Amino acid sequence: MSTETDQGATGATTGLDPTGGLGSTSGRPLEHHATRAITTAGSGSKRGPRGGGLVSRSVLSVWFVLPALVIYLVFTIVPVISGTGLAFTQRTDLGSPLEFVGLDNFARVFTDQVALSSFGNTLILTAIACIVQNGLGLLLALALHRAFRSRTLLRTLFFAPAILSPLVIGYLWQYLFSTTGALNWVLGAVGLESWQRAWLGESSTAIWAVGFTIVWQLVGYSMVIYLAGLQGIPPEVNEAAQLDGATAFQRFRYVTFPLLAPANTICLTLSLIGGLKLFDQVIALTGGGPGYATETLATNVYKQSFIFGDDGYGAALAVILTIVVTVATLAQMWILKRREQH
Amino acid sequence: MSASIDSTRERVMERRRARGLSAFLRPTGMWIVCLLYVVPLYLFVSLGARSGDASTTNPFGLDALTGENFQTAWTDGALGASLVNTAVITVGSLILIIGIGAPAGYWVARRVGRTSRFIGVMFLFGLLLPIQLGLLPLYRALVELGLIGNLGIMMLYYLAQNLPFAVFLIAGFSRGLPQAFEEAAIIDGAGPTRLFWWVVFPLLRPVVATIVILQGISIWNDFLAPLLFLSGSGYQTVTVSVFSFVGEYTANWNLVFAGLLIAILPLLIAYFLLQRHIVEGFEGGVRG
Repeated sequence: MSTETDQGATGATTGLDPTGGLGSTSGRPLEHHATRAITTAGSGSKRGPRGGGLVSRSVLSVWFVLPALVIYLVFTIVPVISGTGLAFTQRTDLGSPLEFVGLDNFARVFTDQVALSSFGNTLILTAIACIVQNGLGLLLALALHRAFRSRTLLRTLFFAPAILSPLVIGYLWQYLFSTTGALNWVLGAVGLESWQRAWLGESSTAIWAVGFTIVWQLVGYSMVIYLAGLQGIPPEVNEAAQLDGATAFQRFRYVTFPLLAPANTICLTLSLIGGLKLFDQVIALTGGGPGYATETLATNVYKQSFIFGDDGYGAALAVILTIVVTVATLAQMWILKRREQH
Repeated sequence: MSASIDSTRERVMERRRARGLSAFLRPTGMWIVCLLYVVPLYLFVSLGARSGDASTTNPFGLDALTGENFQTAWTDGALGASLVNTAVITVGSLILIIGIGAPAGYWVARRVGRTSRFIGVMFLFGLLLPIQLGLLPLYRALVELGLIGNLGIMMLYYLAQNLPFAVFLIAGFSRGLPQAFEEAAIIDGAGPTRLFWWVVFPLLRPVVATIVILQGISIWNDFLAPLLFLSGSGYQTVTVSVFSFVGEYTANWNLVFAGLLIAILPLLIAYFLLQRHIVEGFEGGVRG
């Protein structure tokens, strides 16, 4: 009976028999656990992030993590290692087995016009995603942050494309940009026939049309993240700056924007990774064409590996894609984290 | 003294007036941006419901309304079966991700030692890996084993793909939880399973909701993996069906839009019903 009262004092709520239960969990004496629990119950939350203590020692069996680890190894790590190995092999003839060729596949990248072009295109589209998408997202967030009646409706509208399949959005814009599509129809209707063109069919415009589609679909995503960031800024900070005579621009430049640093880091990281891995939208809009004017790293890897059957070269391109993504992401996170701390 | 107060007040008033103007301009500018979204959306819905070559002759009209396109798209595109497959894969994957990822994330957060730290970093690294690198070997292995077109394999693949982010989020969230509840439960004699699923898991609800929303949407919309891993089988997901459907009816935009609309309808309805939760889910992923 008295034990139960003690239990109540330590905050136990499950009401199991303490003696029997503990005996079966671990061989330690009850008193030891009880004292520990009492002394730590109040300070439990103050412990360091890695201070597992009682929880870590007594019940955390390896079964918590083992299934996840096995699946992750079998479906991600092993294929990735095996894919990296493929990058150093090549067939001498069609249908002959793969042979080790060292760095040949990587050397080939530098003389391959399609590969080089896919690098350039990926760079352009990633830059558009990072700068235009996030810049406009920030503007929309600033505009919607101040409450006015239509705000919720507009937020719902702008964010909607971001949750839809990039493939479907790609097809929608393939129609809008097509020679007989809505954009050219509008241009014709307002007497701008000379502006009409095959937006996705000409190398000069296709890449920008792809970039536009990505911004259109994902600007709402950036907006939502910036809105969350803006909600975390207490209004007093801005009001104080306003009373000190700071102009609207100054307030944004020296107060709001620095306080948005965490949201900025997230937006930039997401669009950097998304831009470098861009695939679905390109497949739906242009398939990489005309020629290879909108080919990206990801579409090129896919084509080499699964359409042209060039395993070794496709794998080498995938290795390069992985290195680019990893280095760019880590570098960007490092830079932005440092700026966040200032 | 009073002069400076006056001038401050004046400046504030001036700003008020300026704000009055921008308070008019901002919503107006907004509505113009808005058109950029409303018009494509209108075309999307209206073109699917119109017959013939409406998409090219008069895209903005509302004549020649018909339900025929939806009927053709539904039967020719086999969209019903695809939607069911996509739903089964998405729900199954999410159950696996939470069921296996949540204990793993909790373990990474609470377990002390070098092993758990190493495993945590290993999962973190998975966040950076583009799927392309492992896709070909995985595809070859599945062909070899005759496992192409297997919905269960699809779920395991998504489990592996989404584990790093799930583990990362849950570990981060678990670290912020006070340990008092867990310790009390241990004193009470709760075993590992009971401790996690009865005591810890209910506290993880916000982060679990975030994972379900973010990863549920990305699995539902995924294209490349089902294109490869379900190719040639009777099972297709909705994105792959859309892909072949568009390929088949490439110039017939009215029919294409009817198909696309059916394909996105479940997600669109869910979005408008659960709008607040979904937006919060995306924000939650951000804070995690």
